[in-house]
Amino acid sequence: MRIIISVMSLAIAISGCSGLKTYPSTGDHNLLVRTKVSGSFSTKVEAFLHVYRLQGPCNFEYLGTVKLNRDEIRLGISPRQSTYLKFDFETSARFANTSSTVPYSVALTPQLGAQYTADVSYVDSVYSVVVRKTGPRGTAERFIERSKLNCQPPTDD
Amino acid sequence: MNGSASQKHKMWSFIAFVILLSGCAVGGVGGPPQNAEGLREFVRIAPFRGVESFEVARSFQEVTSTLREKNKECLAVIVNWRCINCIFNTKGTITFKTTMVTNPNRTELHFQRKGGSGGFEIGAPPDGPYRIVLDAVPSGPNRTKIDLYVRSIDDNLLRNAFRGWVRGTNLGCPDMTKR
Repeated sequence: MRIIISVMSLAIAISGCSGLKTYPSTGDHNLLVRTKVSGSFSTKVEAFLHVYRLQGPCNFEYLGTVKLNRDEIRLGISPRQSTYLKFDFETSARFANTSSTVPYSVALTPQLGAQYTADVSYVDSVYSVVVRKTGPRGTAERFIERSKLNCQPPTDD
Repeated sequence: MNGSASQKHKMWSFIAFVILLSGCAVGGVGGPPQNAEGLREFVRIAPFRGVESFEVARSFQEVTSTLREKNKECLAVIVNWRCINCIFNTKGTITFKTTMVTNPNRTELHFQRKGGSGGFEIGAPPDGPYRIVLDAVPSGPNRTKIDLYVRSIDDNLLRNAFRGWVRGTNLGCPDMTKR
């Protein structure tokens, strides 16, 4: 029993230290994230989506993180609310102590009832994030460009 | 007297040797290319490199438009790196500068990299050594001729990205933290 409590305490401490919380997907599942990530023998690659509420040009409220570890993940982002989606590709060497993160961000204000699709990939050190507003039959209606805000949300660095 | 002359001779030989070595360290005798034309010339005469020339089945306007879009999307980034378990806890920044020159008959994309491995060179321009130059010219309806000048094998990731962009086959962004 004591061991279980110790392990649970350690897990809680570790998860607390990372500063990441699971994104509480709300409302309609209006965002479909399709992910294709592949590392190599020597490199491990992981993808994450960090969701922020944009309360002003440089005022970010961190809402949570989704680990993109499945081919398709559906989640809800609040309509009519400025949202900053930060896709992070984290690469780490399996046999050395080096790692790096490549961010790709988009800012959008979801429309009520609209659907969005994000195609996310990292293959052979080439990454791609394509976010689109999609029509009722899944056809692309509008491409949402990479955000070039002059400020970035705070990070653990 | 003879001994003194011999010593002088040795000294000058040593100085010449040091100059030759430093010449090699700054990217060959003559130093690193100072501009896009310098890189073109560097690649043309380099023994183990060459200009990569090919044609793509896309219009010059399309190619130019893709290069402009991808330049803005993929290359305007800053890489912050940190070595955590090194002997010294080191960190630094790698910056990239691109220059696009366009006119109705020619598009050029120049790429410079400053900082990180291979990003510092004695005598390099302030924004870093020129690493890649891409020239695109129209070569008929829906065809464009591409000349790609790449400084070294270290730039292969970016070279492949440039190839994909002009061909329109792979429009992803290269991970600029990698070489």
